[in-house]
Amino acid sequence: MRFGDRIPRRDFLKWSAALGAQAALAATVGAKVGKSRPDLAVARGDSPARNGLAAVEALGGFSRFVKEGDVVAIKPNPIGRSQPEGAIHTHPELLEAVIRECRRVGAREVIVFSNDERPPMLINGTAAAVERAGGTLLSLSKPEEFREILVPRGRILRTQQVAAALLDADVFINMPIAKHHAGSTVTLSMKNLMGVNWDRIQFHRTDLHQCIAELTATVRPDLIILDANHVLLTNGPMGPGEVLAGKRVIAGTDPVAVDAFATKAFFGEPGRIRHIQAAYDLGAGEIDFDRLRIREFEA
Amino acid sequence: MNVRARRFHGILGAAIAVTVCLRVASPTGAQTDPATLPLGLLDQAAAYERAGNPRAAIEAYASFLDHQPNDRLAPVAAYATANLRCQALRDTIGAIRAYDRVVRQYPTSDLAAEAARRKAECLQGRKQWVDAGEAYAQALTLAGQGSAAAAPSTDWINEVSLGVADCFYQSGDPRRVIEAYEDALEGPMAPQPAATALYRLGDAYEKIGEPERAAICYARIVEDYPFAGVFDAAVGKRELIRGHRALEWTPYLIYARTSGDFARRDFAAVPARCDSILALSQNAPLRACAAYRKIVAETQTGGDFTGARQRLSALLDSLPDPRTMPNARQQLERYETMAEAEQRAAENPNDAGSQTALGGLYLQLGLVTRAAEVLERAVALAPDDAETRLYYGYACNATGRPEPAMAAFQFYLERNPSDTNAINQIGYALLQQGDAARAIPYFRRLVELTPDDPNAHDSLGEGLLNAGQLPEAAAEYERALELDPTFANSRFMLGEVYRRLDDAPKAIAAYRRFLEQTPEGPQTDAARAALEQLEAR
Repeated sequence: MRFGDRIPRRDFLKWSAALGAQAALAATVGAKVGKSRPDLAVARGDSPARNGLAAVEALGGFSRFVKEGDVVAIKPNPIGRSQPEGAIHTHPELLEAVIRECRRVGAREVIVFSNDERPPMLINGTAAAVERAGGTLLSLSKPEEFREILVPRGRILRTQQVAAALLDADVFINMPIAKHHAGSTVTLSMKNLMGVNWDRIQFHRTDLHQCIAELTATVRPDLIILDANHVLLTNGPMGPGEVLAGKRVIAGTDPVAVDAFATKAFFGEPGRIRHIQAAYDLGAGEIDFDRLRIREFEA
Repeated sequence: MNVRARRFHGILGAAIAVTVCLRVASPTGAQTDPATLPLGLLDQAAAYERAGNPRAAIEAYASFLDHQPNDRLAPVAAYATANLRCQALRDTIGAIRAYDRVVRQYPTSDLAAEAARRKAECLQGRKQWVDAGEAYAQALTLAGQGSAAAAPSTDWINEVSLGVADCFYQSGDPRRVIEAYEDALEGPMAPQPAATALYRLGDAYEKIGEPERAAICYARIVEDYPFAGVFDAAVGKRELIRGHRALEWTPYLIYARTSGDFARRDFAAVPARCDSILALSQNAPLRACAAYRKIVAETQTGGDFTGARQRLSALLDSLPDPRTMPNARQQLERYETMAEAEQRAAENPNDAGSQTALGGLYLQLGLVTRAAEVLERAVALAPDDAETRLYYGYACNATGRPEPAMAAFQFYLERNPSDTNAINQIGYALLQQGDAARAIPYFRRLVELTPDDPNAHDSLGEGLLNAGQLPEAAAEYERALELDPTFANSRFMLGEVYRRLDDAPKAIAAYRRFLEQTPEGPQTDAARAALEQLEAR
């Protein structure tokens, strides 16, 4: 079954109508609506959870992204067995806060998923955080948990098997952590998408950076909440390595912009990271900070 | 992702941008912010894609192209349109036109070569052989014109080259094959694919009775491309080359012997041979390759990954063309990863994750004894971790200890009953024990889980072959090749099965096709020998 086949037509028509309505609204109020919100919100402070909530608030709050009755799919980076201070996995406090906020604004179900094994999640606090906040944790391990989608902008990829949990959700929130990565130099929001798909080996066998970019141009998050409260600067992705107290969360809807900003903040020139440049070349987002509205503030 | 009517908020920004774009482009001449224009329409197209409406996505891309035909993202829009027509709408005629637009209007874009290739595939599907062959040839020509980051892989070049050859063969015009390769070689091809093209060109010249031209092609490979996969096959043409070109063969032959050493994993013999080459030859590409193989062999036996990282990095820095020896660059990345993993494991001797990661990396490099030692420690540290057990199983299997391997696999499989890799490995572990009867049910389970995976049928074929069930084995290999006609192992094994079934015509056909597709590799010599034997009957 191909990407989108399962969407009932009436839903699509309603969605199209909504798009049209928003278009009409935009035509009336012009670009002012768009200009009032930043493209990227960067909240700084000692509390990972508070940073995350403040960053999303600056983008318009959770109610902008999640409506009552929605099913929300969250993809954290849940790997490793270390404590959050080791900066291997998305901070459980941040994850817990985001799940709670999604539920507070009316989410019917919040699914936290990844194509990664469960035992580390039990050790590193991810599973407990999800349980405390009333979410559902899915450790995907079977091919039947994924469905095929087309990759229309793919030069290497033609199709991908993507988690049904994501495809069936109303809202997709990508929650990576900022880390060094031995293979892709950095792992931020784009690299974190390797975990929503089934066959990751293909990426490594062909061209890791290009495949990450092609997946990014296809699987678009509604919201990205990048955990940079602790940043692994070396020995990634599994550490242990040099950890910087980044003390911030970067939120946005544009994966290229989020990753470019985080790279510039912690790892150097974004243009040096080939998958960021490749995603920009595929029209998956903006890399030029002069064309972005960025709001940095203390949470 | 399922997009609901009431959930337009996620794409609100895109919708606004889209609307603004449309207003700008509209006859009313409304104003907009040009900065939002390209991404807005592409976001709209992406939203339609995910909503399962490819026609609307195509319209969004078309709108973008109408208004921004020279934008940096125009090739992306044109290319995505073609893919949607081909894959989502199954409209091959429309797709051919759309791919052609990418090729004609954006020939230097990173997507042009792949667009030409996909256009060729559409034409091939319609049995328009000449047009398809020309489109494949165009793909090869365009392959060097994009950015360095988009340089095609050797696999890509091989597949497209085969496409050219296959189509012109089908069209009954072998000279077009030569024409296509000559044209491709005039362009800025990367070294690896250029070597492959030269080999196929030489082969084509031989077939039309022009041995001198063939010899020149083969000699160029020997002298200029010793790092290429076709080097050994070109050396195999030395009798032909000798008649037309004088070469000092000794260092090249020594180098070819190191290929055999690597194939047999006999690394101990390699450093001395490489030293001989370095003493005998002043040919820069050959010297670089010898130095590279020496580093790899010494690292494989000595295991000094930190030192290897430094030596290989210095060697690669000295090469004039950064595209040369792509394998060496991958090897450098492995050495860097290994050195880091070893350091991490040494610093954290009681951390199971660090030990498992290191063991897994040793396995990947074929250092199976070391892998088994490290993973045994990891299992002791984390006895309940299924993934660690799985790796340990691989290591035991590779070090000839099938019983602990089986126990480890079973442990893993009980917790991950649908993991096809583990099922496959258990099957092979049983085959290694000589127990085909117990292996076959695992392979059958593999086929059940992944009926469209050629490798699953290939594995089942091997199990059946080992059990002496030859017709059934042939059927599985045939099925694997239906699913993937380029699956080399199945092609080779099919030759073996038909040979044992005494069906010489089918065995000959299988071996010939295998050798066409795989002119060099570990099974090549066996295929050639079997073919000669069968043809001599």
